[in-house]
Amino acid sequence: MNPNKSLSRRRLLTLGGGVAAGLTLAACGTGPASNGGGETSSSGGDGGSSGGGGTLELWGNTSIIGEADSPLAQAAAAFGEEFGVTVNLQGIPTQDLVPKLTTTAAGGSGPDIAIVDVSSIAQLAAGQVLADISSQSGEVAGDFPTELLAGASYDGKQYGLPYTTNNVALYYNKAMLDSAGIAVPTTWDELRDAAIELTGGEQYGYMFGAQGQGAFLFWPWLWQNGGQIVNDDMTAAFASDAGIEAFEFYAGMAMTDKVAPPEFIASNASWDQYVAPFAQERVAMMAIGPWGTFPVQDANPDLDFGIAPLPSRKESASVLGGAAVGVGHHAQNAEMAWEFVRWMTGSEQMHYIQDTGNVPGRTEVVESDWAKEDPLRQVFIEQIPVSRARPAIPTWGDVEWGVMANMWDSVIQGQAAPADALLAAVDEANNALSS
Amino acid sequence: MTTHVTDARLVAARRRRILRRRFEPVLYIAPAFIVLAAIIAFPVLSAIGTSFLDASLLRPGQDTFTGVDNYVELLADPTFRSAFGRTFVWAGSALVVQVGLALVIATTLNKKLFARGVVRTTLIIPWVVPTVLVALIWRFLLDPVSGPINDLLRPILADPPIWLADTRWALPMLVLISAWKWTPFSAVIILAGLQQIPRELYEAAMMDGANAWRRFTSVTVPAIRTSLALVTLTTISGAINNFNGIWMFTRGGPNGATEILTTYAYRTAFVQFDFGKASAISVMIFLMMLVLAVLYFYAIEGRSPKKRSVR
Repeated sequence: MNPNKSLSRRRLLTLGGGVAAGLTLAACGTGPASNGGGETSSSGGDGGSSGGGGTLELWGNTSIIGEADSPLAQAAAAFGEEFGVTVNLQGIPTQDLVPKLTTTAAGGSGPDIAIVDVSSIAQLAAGQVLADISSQSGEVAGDFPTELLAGASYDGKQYGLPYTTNNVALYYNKAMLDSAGIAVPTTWDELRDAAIELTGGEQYGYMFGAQGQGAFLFWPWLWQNGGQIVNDDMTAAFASDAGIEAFEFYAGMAMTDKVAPPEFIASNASWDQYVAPFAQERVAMMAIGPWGTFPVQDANPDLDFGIAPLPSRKESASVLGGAAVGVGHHAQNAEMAWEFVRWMTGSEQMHYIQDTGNVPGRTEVVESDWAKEDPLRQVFIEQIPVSRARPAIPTWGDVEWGVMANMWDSVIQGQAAPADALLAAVDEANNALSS
Repeated sequence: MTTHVTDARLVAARRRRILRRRFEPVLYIAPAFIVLAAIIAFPVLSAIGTSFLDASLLRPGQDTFTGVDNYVELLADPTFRSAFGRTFVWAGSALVVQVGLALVIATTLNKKLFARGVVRTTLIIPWVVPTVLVALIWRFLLDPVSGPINDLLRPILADPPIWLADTRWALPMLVLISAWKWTPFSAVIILAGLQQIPRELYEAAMMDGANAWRRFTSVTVPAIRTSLALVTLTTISGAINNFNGIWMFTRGGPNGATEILTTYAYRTAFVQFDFGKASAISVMIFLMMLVLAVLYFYAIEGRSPKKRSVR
């Protein structure tokens, strides 16, 4: 054997090629099982609470969990002090939270407590991620608005208690509206006229989102025009005459009136992208929930903006959002976990949620002084009665961020007429709804 | 008689020694091999198994065997077919752009160049930049409103493209961005190959009257054939598996314009939670990679020694 040959670079590279091929095979084999995106953990609750009564694992998205000294971390420490347990908080990026919860549950484990978006409750209930707490929740049910309780239930059973609640309202740039002599619009036609009037040069009237953002923001329009997302038998109902009329109006503002900045078609993932034009004073109005306030103030502290109820047509409507807190299906310490859920959503603990700027999902909040002290916050609280939950079906995520998102994208990419796209989405939506 | 016995013993002992010598390396390799095989084989076998099930995480514990239903459904699925085709376009353009650029860069760096070391080190930087940072950098550069690229274009074009949200531009831009990250790696491998070529070969070729192009095709290319094959394989397989290079920019959008098999598999698994179908897609990807790997070993390992001796 020629030692030169065995050591040659060519030989080495060939071996390297084999290794590379092996690695790619390995990477491909494990592809579907691996979870995209790492987890960032912030362990806040284990600071002052070193109880001997065991530990509770709490998972939520990174913005809900917050920093190590966040209000939730303080609440967790206070709970730990009172009940002699340690509450560990784990923050997971928003788009990874549901996949991570679902895959962990499929593996037979998971957190004791989870704080999740209300639109994913049905999915997490069907996927056996959250536990049915109907037998315990009855005693506190009277403290929460019915619509919010319904938003945290699936198939007639309760899977969580309302933690925070929000909905979508109209943000407007005061200076732009004032200088154009335009009053805050309260109807569709006023909104459209104002948006057209405020569009000119580098300035635009109204903001739209792409993909799932555009689909999510369409629901209030559908309801305001008397439409429904689904029928009682859970088949698609959004392409009714009222639905098509609403969608043509909505899409028409974006595509025909061109009142939105052209880069709106790139706003496909983060709400920071969506609020950027408003914060940069390129757009006069946009529809978004209270989560839009901080990024706007952060990007442009001097911006003078107001928040008003969404303009309406046949009826007033907004889309219900927010978070619910539930007990994990595979909780190690289910009793203590329920204790935390009840304690955290209780009246005395409301200030922890209020400190984050969010609205607690309790009935008493609506009438409280806290609701009236901030005019921006008050709009969202006033809209609670007209806010509607999206259908509680396990495949909702795929309908909103899959079928409807692609449908909206085909319209804003100029590949389909609005009515055609909406009608074409019915079959796909029915497939997703029934699977 | 005694001598015969001794002889037999000696022969047996020698045979044992030879056997041991032959098997000793196997023993050294075995632990790593077994661990690697288990790590690779388990998920692959599990994915193959799941691909024959109707398995949804939204209906835990209710998996049913459905045979090849997932595959039949996939082959009839227009989204799968377009993602399948786009995977080849994506890998093919990555190959042309990355290997083409890498050849140019490597040939340039192989010459005597001012501050060659500095230039070489600088060029490799994109390769070591994590994909998350690549996404941040390029999303900033390509930002339709505040990005420097559109700032430069605005005097020339009234409405510069919204690069990553335009169905015509998104895929080409992603090809260029991933080339920005991966070309340095290819260039370094090719450069290593170039540096192994003895100068005498070029001198001899020049004596024979070969021009620059002839020297490149008849001396350089055959000499770096192994490097080129390796770069080709890693580029194609890397592109097929380059999920982050797409997901972090467009998530397969706009309107499916950048959907390849890996993003489709991810979407099926973690948006629809249809693990049966997602596994079937992964098995398809696996088969593609297998074909590639076999082709590679056939082309390089199987054939080259003979060719080399003929030459």
